[in-house]
Amino acid sequence: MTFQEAQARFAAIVQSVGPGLSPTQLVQVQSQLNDLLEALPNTAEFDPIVEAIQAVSPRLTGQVTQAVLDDLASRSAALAAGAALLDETASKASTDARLLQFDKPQLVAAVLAKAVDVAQGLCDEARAKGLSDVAKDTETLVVLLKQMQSKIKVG
Amino acid sequence: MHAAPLTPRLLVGFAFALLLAGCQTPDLKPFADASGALVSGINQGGDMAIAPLAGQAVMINGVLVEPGAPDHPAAKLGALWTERRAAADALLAYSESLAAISDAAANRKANASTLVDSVRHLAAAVPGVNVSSNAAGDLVVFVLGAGIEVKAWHDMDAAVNSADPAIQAIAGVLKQDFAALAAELESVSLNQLMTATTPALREVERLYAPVREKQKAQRLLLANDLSNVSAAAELLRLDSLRAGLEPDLTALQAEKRRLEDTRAAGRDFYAAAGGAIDAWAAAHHDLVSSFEEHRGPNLKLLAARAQELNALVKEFRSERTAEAAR
Repeated sequence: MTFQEAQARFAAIVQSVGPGLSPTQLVQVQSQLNDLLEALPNTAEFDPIVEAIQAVSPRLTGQVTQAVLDDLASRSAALAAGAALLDETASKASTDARLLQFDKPQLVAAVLAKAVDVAQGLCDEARAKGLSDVAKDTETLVVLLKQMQSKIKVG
Repeated sequence: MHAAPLTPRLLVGFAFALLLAGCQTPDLKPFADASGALVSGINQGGDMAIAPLAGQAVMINGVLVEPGAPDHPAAKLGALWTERRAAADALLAYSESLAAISDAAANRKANASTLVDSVRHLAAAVPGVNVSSNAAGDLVVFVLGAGIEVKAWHDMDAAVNSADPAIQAIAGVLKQDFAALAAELESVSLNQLMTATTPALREVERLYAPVREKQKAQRLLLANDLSNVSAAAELLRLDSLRAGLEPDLTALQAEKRRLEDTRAAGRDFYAAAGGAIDAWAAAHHDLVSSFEEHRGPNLKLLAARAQELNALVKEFRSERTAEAAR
C-alpha cells in the first residue's frame, strides 16, 4: 500500500460519516478505520495516517455514544409503559396465586361456589340423561357443599 | 342428609368434565427459569458496555469529557440502563406470579386437604353433615382440587393474555437496546485499540523487528568467526536492547488480544441475548395460543436459548472475577 492509497482510503472512510447514522453504522465506519490501521505498513512514512486515525476515533466513539443514548432514551417511555402493565398483571396474578393457596376465606367461598356449580352441572346432566344414581350422588354432594358454603364467614 | 359416599362414577364424571374443559394448568417452570436467565442477561449486558465506557475519555460534541466527570456519558447510559433493570424486575415478578399459580395448581391436593380440615371443623355443627368421614373428606378434596385447577387455568389464561402486549413491546425494546449496547462496546474497544494500543505496538514493533534482524546477522558473523570480538559485543548490546523491549511488546500484544477478545465476546453475548429475547417473546405468545387451543405450550427453544445465555453470563462473571483478582 502506498501513502497515497492509504490517504485515499482514509478520506473515503471519513467522508462516509454523515448525519443520522445509527450506532451500528457508525461502528462499521470505525471498524473500517481499524482495518486500515492494521493494513498500514509499519514505517514512519505512514505515521501521519496513524495520527489522523487517532484523532478521528474518539470523535466517532463520541458520536456512537451519543447515538446510543438518544436511541435508548427514545424507547424509555414504551419500556416504562410495558413494565407498568406487567407490574399490574403480576400483582393480580400473585393475588390469584395466594387465593389458590387458600390463605383467605374469600377463596374458600369462591372455590366452594365453583365446586357447587360444577357438581350442579353434572347433576343436571345426569338427570337429563336419566342416570338416576349419578344424579342422586351429585345432588347429595351439592347439598353438602352448599351447607359448608353457608358456614364460611367472608370478610 | 348424609354425606355422599366416594363413588367412582362421581370422580370419573368430574375428571371427564375437567378434561373436556381442557383445564390442565401448564408447568411454567421453564418459562420462569428462562425469565431469570434473561434478567441476568439484561443486568450483565448493561455492565459489560457501561464499565469500559466509564474508563475512557469521550469526545462529545467536540468536547473531550474525562472519565469520572459529572457529564460523562457513562453516567447517562447507566441511568438509562437502570430503567431497563426496573423492567427486568417487572418481568421477573410477572414470571414468578405465573409460576406461583402453576405451583398452587400442582399442589392443589395438599391445599385442598388443608382446606378440608378447616371446613370439617366449620361444618361439624351442621346437622346431618358427616364431613368427618374419610370418604366425604376425600370427595370434597377432589372437588375442591378440581375447582382449584379450573380457577388456576382461568387465572393464568387471563394473566398471559393481559401481559402479552407488554411482553412483546418490552422484548422489542430490549432487542434494539442490546444492538445499541453491542455497538457501544465495540466502539469503545475499537477506540482503545486505535488511539492507544495499536499505535504504541507499532512503535515498539518498529524498534523490535530490526533488533531481531540484526541479532540474526551478528549470530551468523559469530558462527563464522568466534574470535570476532566486535560482533560479540554488538550481539550483547542487541540482546540487552531486545530484553528491554520485550516486556512492552508482550504487554501490548496481550492488551491488543484482550481488546479483540472483548469485541468478539461482546458480539457473541449481545447476539445470544437478542436470540434469547426473541425466543422468550415467542414462547410467551405461544403460551397465549396454547390456552386458546387447549394444549401445552412449547418451551423447548426457549430453554435452549436461555441455557446459551446463562453460559455466557457465567463466563462474563468469571472473567470479571478473574479481572478483579488481578
